[in-house]
Amino acid sequence: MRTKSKLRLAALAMAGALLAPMAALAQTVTMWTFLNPANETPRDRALKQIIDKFEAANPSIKIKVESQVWFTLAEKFVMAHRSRSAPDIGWVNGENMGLLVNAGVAEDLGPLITSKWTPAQRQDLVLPQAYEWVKTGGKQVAVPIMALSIVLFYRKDLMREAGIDPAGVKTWDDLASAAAKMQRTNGPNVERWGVGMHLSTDKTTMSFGANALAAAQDGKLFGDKCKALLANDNGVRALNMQADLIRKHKVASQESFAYTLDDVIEQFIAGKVALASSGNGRYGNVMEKATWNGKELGMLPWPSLDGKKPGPQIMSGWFASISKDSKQKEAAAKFVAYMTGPEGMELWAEPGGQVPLFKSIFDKPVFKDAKYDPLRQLSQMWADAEVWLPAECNAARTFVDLNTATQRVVLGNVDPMAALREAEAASAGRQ
Amino acid sequence: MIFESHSGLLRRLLRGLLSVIIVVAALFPIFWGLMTSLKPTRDIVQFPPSLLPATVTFEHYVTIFKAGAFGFLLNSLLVSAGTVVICLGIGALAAYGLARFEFPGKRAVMVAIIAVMSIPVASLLIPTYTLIAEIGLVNTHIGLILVYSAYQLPIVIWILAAYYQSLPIELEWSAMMDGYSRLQALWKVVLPLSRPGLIAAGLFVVVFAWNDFVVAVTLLSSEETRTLPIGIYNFLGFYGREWGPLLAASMVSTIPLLVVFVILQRYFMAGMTNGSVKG
Amino acid sequence: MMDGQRTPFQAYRYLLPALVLEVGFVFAPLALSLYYSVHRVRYYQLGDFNGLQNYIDILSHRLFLNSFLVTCSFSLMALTLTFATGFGLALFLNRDTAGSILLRTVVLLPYVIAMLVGSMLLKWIFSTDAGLVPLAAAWFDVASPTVLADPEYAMAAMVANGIWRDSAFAMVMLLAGLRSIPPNLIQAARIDGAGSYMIFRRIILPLLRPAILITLIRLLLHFANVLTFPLILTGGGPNNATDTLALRIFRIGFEDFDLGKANAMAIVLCLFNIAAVVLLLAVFRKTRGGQSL
Repeated sequence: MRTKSKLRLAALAMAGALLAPMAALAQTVTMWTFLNPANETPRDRALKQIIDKFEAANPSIKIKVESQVWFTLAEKFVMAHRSRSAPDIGWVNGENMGLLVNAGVAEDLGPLITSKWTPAQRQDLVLPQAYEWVKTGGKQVAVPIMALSIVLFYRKDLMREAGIDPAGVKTWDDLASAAAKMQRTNGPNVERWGVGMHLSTDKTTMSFGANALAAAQDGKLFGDKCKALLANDNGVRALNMQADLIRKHKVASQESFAYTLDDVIEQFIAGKVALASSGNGRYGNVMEKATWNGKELGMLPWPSLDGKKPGPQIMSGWFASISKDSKQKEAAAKFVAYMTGPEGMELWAEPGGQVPLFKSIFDKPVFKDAKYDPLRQLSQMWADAEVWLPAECNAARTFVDLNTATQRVVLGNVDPMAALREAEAASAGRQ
Repeated sequence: MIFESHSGLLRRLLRGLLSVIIVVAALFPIFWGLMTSLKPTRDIVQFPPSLLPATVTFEHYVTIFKAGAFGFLLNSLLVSAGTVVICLGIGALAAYGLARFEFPGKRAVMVAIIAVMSIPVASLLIPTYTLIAEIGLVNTHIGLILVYSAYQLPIVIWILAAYYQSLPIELEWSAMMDGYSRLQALWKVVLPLSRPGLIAAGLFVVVFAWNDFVVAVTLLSSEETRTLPIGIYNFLGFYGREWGPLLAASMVSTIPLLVVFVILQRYFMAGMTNGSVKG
Repeated sequence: MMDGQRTPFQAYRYLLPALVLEVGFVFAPLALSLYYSVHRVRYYQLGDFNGLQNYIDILSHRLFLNSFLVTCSFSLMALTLTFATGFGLALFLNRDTAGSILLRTVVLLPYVIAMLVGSMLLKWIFSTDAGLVPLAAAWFDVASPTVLADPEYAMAAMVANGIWRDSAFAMVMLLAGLRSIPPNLIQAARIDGAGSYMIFRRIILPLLRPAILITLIRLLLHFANVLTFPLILTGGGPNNATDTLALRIFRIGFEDFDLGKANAMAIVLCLFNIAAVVLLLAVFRKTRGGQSL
């Protein structure tokens, strides 16, 4: 008897313990992101303010942030979905968008968010393509939170010293000669390389060669069914250009073969390289950490092989998607709409330091301040040369194929066309 | 032992030189990491690098504890301790079965032990995640502990079985004649004698459980459950590596293991002594 | 508790919890992995059964042979040198002076620090453009070699990483073995006039065999499966010179998102590992009458 009543009590207590958080859960929307509102960086602070304001306006919804290691976010979101333990909202970066597009785990945000836009809102978009890019089969699998691109960083002071006008750097040959002028050697050792390249075979972002190739092919690196377009005359020119920076002009270190983007940016910060490509998101970091005067940091439009127009800004960014399994899609969508809508975007711009994705925000007087000049330059460069490589094609790995081909040409004296053919085949083997 | 017979000056000099080389080779990279963790952010990537910090700062250590390192440390302690307990508990039993019985399938069990140690862990991640999620243990410490235990059990069983075999079986017989059951004999006679072996096996388990990142990052998702290695990896940020906090965190995470090793070194040596050798 | 009858299966009562754990958390996932390996699994979506196609694809891939050879040569070099270093350390530090105890602790540090951090530090140090290599080169007034850009140096760097981290493991295992050799055995031999080499050859080595075997097997499996060294230190390059099988599994599974092929490759690697261990055991048996595990 006694045990029985004890059992009943325990059962009751357990049910209570289970139900109490359930009641609270009904309004708690979980979000996986790489940011952490408890931290102090500009973007973390922006997210915190967005959540605070949203919760104030929607007292019935609580946003629970679970920060993740950034490079595991996309695959964890998809994996969690497979076992029905996905969060309501997941952030996915552009480089891993293929996973989201191909896996079919995301709710269509069209009916929930984008179809509710007014025509005026549509007109207001800075990057309308960013929304089209994450549509598959007519379904909006995500919406952009912040856009990013790989840009070319340079140091104004070194350009001045070398007597180079940055605006005159139009072709890759111009870039090579500018780099040579900024290079500094000491005996057998190079103290400062003209350019820093990341040609490692790590999953990576676009290299110089990939940019040159995309430029020569009107922004196209992929044909039908994600067939990489590498093994052709443009490919050979682009690959040779990249290889020549190492072997002919000797303005880039051969150790580029082992460098990742992180390595190169650290060397740029340390003053070991004069030019480097990087995600524009690191602008503030570089300025702050540079061992030289951070105010001398500048961004160059990409050169091209013929110099007729700038090379492409290969676009990426962070996107929000909602799990198909979410029990509270409406609430989640409400927050995503807020986070990526006019109010959210303004906070992403200030204090977040991102290019706002609505023109009307940028036109506000506060953003006329000179400290927003880099953002303005960036949005201009995007307007001039924005390119979105097909999300379903796993471009990051094709960049690696191109890097591998470059390594083979430089180290193994392989014929560039043969190396590119193999790169193309490797890329095709992945699709 | 071989070196003990003579003790000429030359020999001592050579010993000294060799010791210096060992210390430099083993410690230099870590010393470099420690010094770097004490430099202000701006000085860290400076070129040419300076070995010693021009100004010493503890800001990175403050940063990591603000980022919750203390909680992660506790989680790591809990997970490591749990894994050790389960590994030793289950391993002690299984090793006993292997050491004291002849039975059909014994060879198969031995082969299975080697097979488990041969599997590249990375390949099991996704199937493991799927199964763990199926039984509702995703994002729980118990799930992580069970997976770690499964990975480490083979080496534990191996070491312990070898250890038991080195113990005189007569002790158990006399215990059983006094009315102990086999399990009681194991518990009251064999295990106390095997303490050094248990500690030795436990240390290998701890090194794995304490430092693992791949399994942890796959199975855990919230800040409350996060272990220290995930905290460390988090400083490989989207906007670049934060060397300062990254190294500070890894220095902090190294200390508990080192302390455990130093304290238990005595037992450890004894444990291996009686164990592996006679296997 | 009752001591059951002495049936031949009594041992399984002791093994049961371990077996349950292994079946649940290793063999079940492994079975799932096998299942994946004969299916098309793209972007984590289970597709159609495709028989041995994944195996054919990976085995016929241009880079498979390269990765296989890289894995073999890395494992062999790292195994030999790490074992030798660990053995040397064990012999050198097999005494209980304060200095030896301190040195043993020092040697353990590379083993207990997180592998990722160790490899990152080594990469930094090896880097010509950012690290300490050029400083050392400047000291000796020579042009600094480009360690990470040269296929052979890169492999050497990876082997160095292995020696640096794992010698401690070998040392501890072998030291323990050395400890168990009764000192009077060696003294007796010495009185009989045996030299150091003779003692080493005739007494120490034979008595160390079990410890040596465990050490070799553990090290071999560790090196054959290690991902951190190539992933962090060399990225598999240059020109795929350090592209190990474990790294390829990682790349195919988590960067190409092709779990079918990744699992097929993992199974192939696992079979290789087992074959290597069996080979090692056979060699060991042959050199001197059968010792069990």
